[in-house]
Amino acid sequence: MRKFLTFIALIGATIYLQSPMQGHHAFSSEFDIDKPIRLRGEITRMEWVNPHSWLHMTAALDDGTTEEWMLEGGTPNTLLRQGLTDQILQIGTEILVRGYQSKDPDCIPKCRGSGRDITFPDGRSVFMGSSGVGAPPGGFPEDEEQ
Amino acid sequence: MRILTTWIVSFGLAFGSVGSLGDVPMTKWGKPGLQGNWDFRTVTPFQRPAAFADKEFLTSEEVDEFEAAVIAGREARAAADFDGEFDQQDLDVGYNQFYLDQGTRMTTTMRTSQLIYPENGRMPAMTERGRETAAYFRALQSRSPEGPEDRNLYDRCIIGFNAGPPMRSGAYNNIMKLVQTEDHVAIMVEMVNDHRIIPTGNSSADLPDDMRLWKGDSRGSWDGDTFVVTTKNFTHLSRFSGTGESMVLTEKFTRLDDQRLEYEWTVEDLEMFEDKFTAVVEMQLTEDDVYEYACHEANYAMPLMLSGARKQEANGEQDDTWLPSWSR
Amino acid sequence: MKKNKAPLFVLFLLSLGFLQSCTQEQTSESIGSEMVTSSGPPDLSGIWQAVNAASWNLEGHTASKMPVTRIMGALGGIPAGMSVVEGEEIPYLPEALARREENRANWNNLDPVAKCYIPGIPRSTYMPWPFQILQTDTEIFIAYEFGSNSRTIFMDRPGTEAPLPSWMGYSLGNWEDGTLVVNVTKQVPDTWLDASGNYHGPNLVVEERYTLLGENHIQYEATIDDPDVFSRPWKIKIPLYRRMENDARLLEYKCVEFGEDLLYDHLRKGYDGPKALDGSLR
Repeated sequence: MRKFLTFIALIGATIYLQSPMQGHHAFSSEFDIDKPIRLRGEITRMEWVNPHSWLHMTAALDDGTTEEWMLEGGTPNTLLRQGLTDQILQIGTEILVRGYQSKDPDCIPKCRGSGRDITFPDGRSVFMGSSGVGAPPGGFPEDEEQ
Repeated sequence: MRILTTWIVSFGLAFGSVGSLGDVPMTKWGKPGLQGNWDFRTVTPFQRPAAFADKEFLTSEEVDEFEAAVIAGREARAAADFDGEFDQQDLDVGYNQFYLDQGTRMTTTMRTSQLIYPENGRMPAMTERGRETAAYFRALQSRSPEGPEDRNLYDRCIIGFNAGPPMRSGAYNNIMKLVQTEDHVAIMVEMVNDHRIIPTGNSSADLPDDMRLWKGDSRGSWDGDTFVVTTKNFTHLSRFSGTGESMVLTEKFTRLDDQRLEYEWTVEDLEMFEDKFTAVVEMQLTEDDVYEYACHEANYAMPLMLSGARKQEANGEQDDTWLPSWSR
Repeated sequence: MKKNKAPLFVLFLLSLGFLQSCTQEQTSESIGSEMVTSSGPPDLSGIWQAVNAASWNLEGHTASKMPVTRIMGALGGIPAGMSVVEGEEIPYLPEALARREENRANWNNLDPVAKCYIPGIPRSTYMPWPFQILQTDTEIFIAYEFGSNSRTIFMDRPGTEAPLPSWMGYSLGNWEDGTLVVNVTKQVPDTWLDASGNYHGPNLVVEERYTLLGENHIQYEATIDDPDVFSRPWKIKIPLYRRMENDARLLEYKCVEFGEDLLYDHLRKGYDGPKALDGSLR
């Protein structure tokens, strides 16, 4: 057990040293930590494009109106290779998105944000991969406090 | 007996004239076959972690443990509840983990690092010039961008961050296509939809010093069963891991067997680094396709960054979040 | 007298072996290209280039000015060209022609290639930059100097489809009597066929034919089929010339930095000029 934990600790250090991951696109240059967003709504379009896919949705606001958003995700090629682009994030699906709005606040043509975390409204993850990756259970922690 | 020998020889001639020598597929012109789509994902650390110190190789049990630990680490991170802190670290994670594709296996070398030289498996020190140049680009990219040239080549969709050359396992798109004819080898790396055409005869004159290419200029030749590629004439912006235009890259491709391609590369740039550095991995043959990675065509992030910068200026706002949190 | 039949039998076996190796060269397991032989397809490997004004306008046109002529004078005009379209004119549906005219009126702002977007097929073939064909049995790889773009023509998977559209489309090839026939589907609708506004829709199907004529020429034909835009399929025909210089090679034309000026000038710090584009990204 101790050896296993040592390895876990090792991984933490290792991932940091694995410099190619640092090449990952700098979301902090596009989006604003002072503008966190929580959106709930239906997917209207999936742009499976590179370098980043964009999820379009109509978000339901508290005052009953709606707002058009596009949220930035990752490369679609990983999901393409697994044959998943036909299955996940389909048009009409209701989702929860936690993320951050762009530094540019204008919603022209749509509001822009990072799709930091996409889940189903009941908290289920959108996809569970072979290495067990998925979204956190239970939706947003704030929901549980209400 | 003579009749038996004749039979054996005949059968040998009939069926041995094409096919593989051992496990290595051969081309019709008698060179090892390198063609295929190659998966270069690996969880083998690029540099040897401190905990492995002088240990160069792992046993297969240790490899299994390491791989299991990597996967457990990812699952733990994915399952972790959001801590409520809207901070740079959270923002920089970017998006759900299912988009990532960093592999689940160590490379079959069973080494503790991809780097094999310097012998401690760690990068050599930078020279003063190397540090100054790195600092210059850091400063450029950490300020509000005045134009697209202030951003790095990945943000601009000019070069992929795992494509080099040399190619190196990164966050995703760790796949390449190699097409081989007698006179040329083409290497097409998925990110960002770019290719090198490498002549195999190595006979034409070098490019002059004032002709610089983003991917450098590659020449190849066979050294026994190894295809050796020398690349130079990089631009000063190409900057593989902090190198400059003096960089000389030597890559060695050796088909080990039906499934594996050994890829060893050495970077020498004594202007920026005190010593050369060498890495080796074993790429895996894959049936997966390399998909088009049309990057610039849908690079919505670039105008978004620039318009954000302009709006901040108009509002008199300052922002120091142009570099990601991991490079602070 | 009992004749020793072994030598005859050996000969028989050897001939079997020879036949087998011939057959093996035609299967998908073998690697590498075939030189011109009586039993194999011609080898299209090499560096090729179109030499005409088709990339400016597929239809017949005389020389004309363009926005950059103001800055570059005689170096910056559009050259004249004969039509490469069989039948001279592209057979647009009436409402589709109106859109071509709209494209044409604002072409330098709307042409995706001006932004350094991938030109697609067939336009990549007749861009005035060389391209290189690497021919193997299982796939033919074409690398284009313009934009450092490329595509794979799959020779061993007939009847398959791409999961998503792409800028270069999905190419399946086969040999017909020494002609390489390529079927290209699933191109994104965002590419143009030339710089003068000729365009297509999402259901475009292109059939290309590459026929080697002697050592240094390829006759290239492409049939454009898009019932949403054109009243019938139509064909272009363009000779391709081998780049014969001893040091012929592809260099780089990674045009992103050129496209950036067009796309992002109006987002530069201190920019105080007219907006280059209409605000749309594609």
